[in-house]
Amino acid sequence: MKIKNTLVPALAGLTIAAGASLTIASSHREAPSIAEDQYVDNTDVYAFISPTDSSKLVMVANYVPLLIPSSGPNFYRFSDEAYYEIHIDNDGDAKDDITYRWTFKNELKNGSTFLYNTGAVDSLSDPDLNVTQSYRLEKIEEKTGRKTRLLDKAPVAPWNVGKRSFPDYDKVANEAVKSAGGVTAFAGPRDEPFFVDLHVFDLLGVAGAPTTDGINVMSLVLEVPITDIAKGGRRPAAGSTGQDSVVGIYASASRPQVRILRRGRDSDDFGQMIQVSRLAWPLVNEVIIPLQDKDKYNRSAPKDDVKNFGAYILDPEVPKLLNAVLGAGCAPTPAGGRTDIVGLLAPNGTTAADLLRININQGETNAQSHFPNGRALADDVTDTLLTVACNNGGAIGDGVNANDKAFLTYMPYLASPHSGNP
Amino acid sequence: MAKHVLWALSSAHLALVGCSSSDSDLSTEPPTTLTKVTSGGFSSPTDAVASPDGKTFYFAAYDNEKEPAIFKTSSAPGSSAELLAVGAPLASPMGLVLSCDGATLYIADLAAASADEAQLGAVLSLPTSGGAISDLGGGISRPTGLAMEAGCKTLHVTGRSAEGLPGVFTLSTEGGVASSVFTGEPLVSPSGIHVDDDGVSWVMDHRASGAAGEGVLWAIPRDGSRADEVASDLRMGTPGGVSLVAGGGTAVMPTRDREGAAQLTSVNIATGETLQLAAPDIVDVGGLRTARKAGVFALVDTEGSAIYRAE
Repeated sequence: MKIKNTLVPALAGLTIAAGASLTIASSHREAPSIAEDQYVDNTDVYAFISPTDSSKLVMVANYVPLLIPSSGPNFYRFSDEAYYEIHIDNDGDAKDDITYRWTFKNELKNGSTFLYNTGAVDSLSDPDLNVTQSYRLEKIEEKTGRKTRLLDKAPVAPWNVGKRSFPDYDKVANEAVKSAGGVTAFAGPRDEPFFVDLHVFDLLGVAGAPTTDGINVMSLVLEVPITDIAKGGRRPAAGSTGQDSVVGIYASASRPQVRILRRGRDSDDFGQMIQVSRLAWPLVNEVIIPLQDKDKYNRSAPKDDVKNFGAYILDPEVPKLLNAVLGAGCAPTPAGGRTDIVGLLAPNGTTAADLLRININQGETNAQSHFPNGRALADDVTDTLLTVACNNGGAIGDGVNANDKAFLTYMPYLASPHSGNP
Repeated sequence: MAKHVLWALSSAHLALVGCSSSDSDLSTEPPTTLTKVTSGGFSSPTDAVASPDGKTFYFAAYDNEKEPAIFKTSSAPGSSAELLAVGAPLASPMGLVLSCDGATLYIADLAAASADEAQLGAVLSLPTSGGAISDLGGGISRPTGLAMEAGCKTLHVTGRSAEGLPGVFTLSTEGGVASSVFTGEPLVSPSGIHVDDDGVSWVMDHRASGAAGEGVLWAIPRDGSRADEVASDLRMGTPGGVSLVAGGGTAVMPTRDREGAAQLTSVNIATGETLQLAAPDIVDVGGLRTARKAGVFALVDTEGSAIYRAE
């Protein structure tokens, strides 16, 4: 199918109706192995034309699921021993053309206290901020291997410990928005933007409970000129339907292959980097891929999705469960399988793959950035995907239709994280 | 594929070319065939070495109880692996090299307990006829790769200094205190190593970045005056493996191509010309070592849990 403006209205017309309910967590603790390695667990990916500058694309990769705000004394952060990456395919072959890579470094000012901060903090450079983290952001052009350092020693926003520690948390966190060379980046905790009823995992027992309200997540937000990621550095003309009129995006995390645990000492990590988590669409590994292949999915590449997981996409389990448990009346899988879903994964003649694809033609605006043409923070992807999966002409959903906090209209776009002591 | 590998041959680096391994009757050409030697009875091998005549391979892996172990096998296809040593002090054997006479196996173990409490991991020795494992000491932390100098009395070791700096060190085969050859940047995570007849260390580095991308082969002269990038964008395994063919003109490295397929990459050091030998049966690559007096390479499939020979 083509992504111009045709796809979005087609799905935007799907609305929630009374009837069967089911929900999914986008990709929170979705596979056995990654559930044991929380800091590198992808949860969601978003991509939308910047609301403030339509020549730029905003990409959000969230990690570390379901974080309780009062989770001290060792508050959440990114792993120092991992690559966090956003990958971009700009020519439709489902292979990486550009990668943005974050690597982190944790620092401790005073190891003789258990406190994250030793006094009220009013800036990122406040000496009372005892535990800090910084990062390096690099752009890698995969075809040439050229690596460009975009930011170095950029600060990660601190955890929102509470009102005593951060009298004006937003002021401090906003200092973590950094720009260089036309690129703007943010790393740090934010309010979990994904809204859902997680009671689904109690035998599909959803009832519109907003179970991710009040929860935080660790976010990487990147706003880049579209010409930085478009094939050949040029945005296609308005209305173009070529393979390069969309870019495909996914996020991943990788760890060194070997970890040596030592008694009484820090662990050592060594060896080649192994991808342990990836995510693009907010459904695929959660409910399309069965348990036996979830870890394989996390360690594989989008270019191999059809070969590895095509059968699961053509004959998904979700509509069968909806019928069996909730009597939802979903349509049976047609002969030849759900080629309509495969089509959604292969817009404009691109290679079918689990990539979040978005139109980057000239003239595209933020208003057009709605799943599956990218994904806006406020998109109710649960309802959209369930409706597509059920495929009976009706619309179904989980009863949770909006986030608990309003999103920002400026970087970092996600809402401020919930306070550990409001 | 070769087209993805760019070469940064500086004049300083070219000065290193011409170092040679001695036997004149050995092939100076890179390997052209790959044959599985053994699988079964072990898992997750990391490194393998060939006896001087190439007829016996030794490799580090885990036994069926998931205990770290050293195995021995004939290099003939279809051979069975024989357990040579298992359990402590072995913990995470990562790099191997044989003495010149083939009587002693040296083991770089990332996690073995050392008598020196400040040292993380250990360089160990094991008679190939079996027997007790000895700790050579040396003070090198996190040792990962080993090579034998031409004089047969000095090991070159990749690891970290007491300060945690990545580096290349020398250590007598009798043990003692290690000496630093080169530490610090641009090295990041050195592992596999080969030493040529002039004492130049050829070092594989997983996470160093070179002109063409991440994964670098460095050349470090014996005086440690510099680390020259020989090749980059090398998708090596754990550990990275490297050996030079006889004559020293070509480096052979197990790598993966951009699609993730295993291959043997051979690089003419003087010209940068590359050859790829596809290894479709290998799931993921690891260490590699050539026989001292035979044109045979031993190499491992870390994920497929198998040992191969290349020639």
